[in-house]
Parts: sequence; structure tokens; C-alpha cells
Amino acid sequence: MDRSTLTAFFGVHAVDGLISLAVAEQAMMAGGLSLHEVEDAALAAGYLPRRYERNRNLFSVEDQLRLHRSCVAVVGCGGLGGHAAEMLARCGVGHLICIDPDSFAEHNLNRQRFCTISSLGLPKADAIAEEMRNINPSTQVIAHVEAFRLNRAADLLGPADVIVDALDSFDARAELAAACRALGRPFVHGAIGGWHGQFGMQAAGSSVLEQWLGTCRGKSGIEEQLGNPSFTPPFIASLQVAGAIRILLGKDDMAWGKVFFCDLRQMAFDTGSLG
Amino acid sequence: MHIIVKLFATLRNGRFEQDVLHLADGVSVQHVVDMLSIRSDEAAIIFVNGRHADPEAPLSDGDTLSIFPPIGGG
Repeated sequence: MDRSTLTAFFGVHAVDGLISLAVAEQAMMAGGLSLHEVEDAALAAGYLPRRYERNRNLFSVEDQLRLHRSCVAVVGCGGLGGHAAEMLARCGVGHLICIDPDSFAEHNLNRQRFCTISSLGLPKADAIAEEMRNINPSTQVIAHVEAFRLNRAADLLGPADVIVDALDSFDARAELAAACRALGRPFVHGAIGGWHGQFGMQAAGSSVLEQWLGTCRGKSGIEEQLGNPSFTPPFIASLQVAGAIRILLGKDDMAWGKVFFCDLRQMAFDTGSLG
Repeated sequence: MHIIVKLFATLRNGRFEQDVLHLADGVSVQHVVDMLSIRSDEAAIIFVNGRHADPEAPLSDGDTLSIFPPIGGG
């Protein structure tokens, strides 16, 4: 089924400009296409998969197509990474790269989005890839069950338009920020500790967060003393996903070079500029 | 001169959330950090009036100094 036949098919079956999953599946069967390909054709022809109906007043069909053709790397698939991956997929980001060497353990059950009794022992990156098929089957996920290393940066992050930092050490974060600068990719930082969290963004080619994170190498974060509850990871992951979506949609951004802090116990929020 | 100091998260333990300090003119950011017995590994970032500050930079009357601990979890 070529694009013009598909467009005609959507024209017959769309309701209010929306394509249901059942209609997309018919097009998959008829055309021997993946759901990702069918939805690309639908969006390119101006039709919106019904899954994104509630995005409709936020993102234009062109925006939704742009997200569909975008790739975000989520580096670290624990507290922040699981929530970030889910939110990116639900927004309609078409390609995700999930990187984490670890498997789910009991102490992850208090906060990590895809850690369940039945996923204990499974590699986190693989578990996220599997869950995404059920949440947004048109998002294509590549899972790398390995630690992020600078010498693997080009291979792991090369296809990504935006990199989300969901790591858990300053050394690794500083290396990731350096890799993003070297590859010319925007870097979206997030970190959590107890009731507290922080978020910041480094533009493509900038080294502003890389330099700051470099000064934190070797320091132990307050999370080592406080632990992490269920509610700070999704809060900070939300800021990271909103930032990543703004970048992908090419909006001017007020967050470049800034660091935002939150204290959810005292309801204190603060932002400062690194530049 | 008067400096407003804001501390965040664990740095408040045994200290304060916010205070006004009366200091000799021109003292540095590091001087205030030392005065508050904050070790270098306890502070990850220091802002003066919302901008990242060099520890050796002299403070001016009315400045707001904000000190944040390292937050590294994911």
C-alpha cells in the first residue's frame, strides 16, 4: 500500500480527523507495514492517531509528526528514567533508547515505575522496552543493558536528538554532559535526593552543566543519607520530559543554562543561572 | 553590610533556612561558607542573586547568597 492509497484509506476511515488503533491495524495488515510506519503516514497526511486526541490542543499534527520522527535517549532506567520513558512514549516520541546495566531489585519497588513483583530480576532497560509496547506500540525502543561509558557515547547516543540524564552519580553525569557537548546534542539533567530534586538543561554545543557537574565529581549526594521516596522521581522526570518536548518542538527555551531546585517537604523552589 | 543567606535541604540541619548576616564590607562567598562550617563537599552550587558565583568573589551589601547541597540520585 503506497502513501497515496494509505491517505485515501485514512480519508474513508478517519472520524473527526482521528485514526483509531483498529483502523491503523487494518492498514498494517493491508500494507504489510509496522504501526510506526502507518502512523507516520497518517500524521504526514494530517490525521492524528486517536491515542493522541488529548494532545490535540497542545501539539499540532505537524508537532505530533515531529515527535513521532524524534529520538530521545534515556540514560539510566531507575527512578527518573522509567517515568521519563513512559511520559515520552505517551507524548508520542517515536524512538527511545534506554540504557541501564542493572536489573530490578526489591529496594527499587518503592519508586521505580516499572519495578513490580513480577519484574524483579529483569534488566531495567529490557523491561521498559517491553512495557512501552503495551503503552505506545508505535514507539520503537532500543534497550542497551550496559553502563553508559564515554567510549561508547557515539554508538549509544548517536541516533538521539535529545539526551535525558537519569543516572545516579556525579562522575557518570559529568561524562554524559561531556559526551552531549562533543556530539552536539542537548542534555537534560535531573537528579533526586529525599524530598529534594534538581533539573537543568544544557544546549547543544554548550558545556555549562558539564563544567558544573565536573566540580561535583567525587561528592556524595544527599540521597545516600536520605534515600528516595516515590514522589520526587516523577516530579523531576516531568520537568525533564517537558524540557525534552520543548527542545524537540523547537521552542525557545527559558531553561538553558539554569538549574532548578525543589524541596517538596518545605514547598521551596529556586532557580539560578550557571552562565 | 547585610547579606541574605538561604540554605537548602540538608544544609538547613543545625543551621537555618534563611538569615540576614551582618558582615565586614567585601568579604568573599567562601568566607560565609566557612563561617557556616559548610565543608566543600557539602555544597554543590552557590548562587549570588540567582547567578553561579565564584567562591572568591566579594559580596556586596544586599546580596542574596543561596547554597545547595549535592543531589545525585536517579
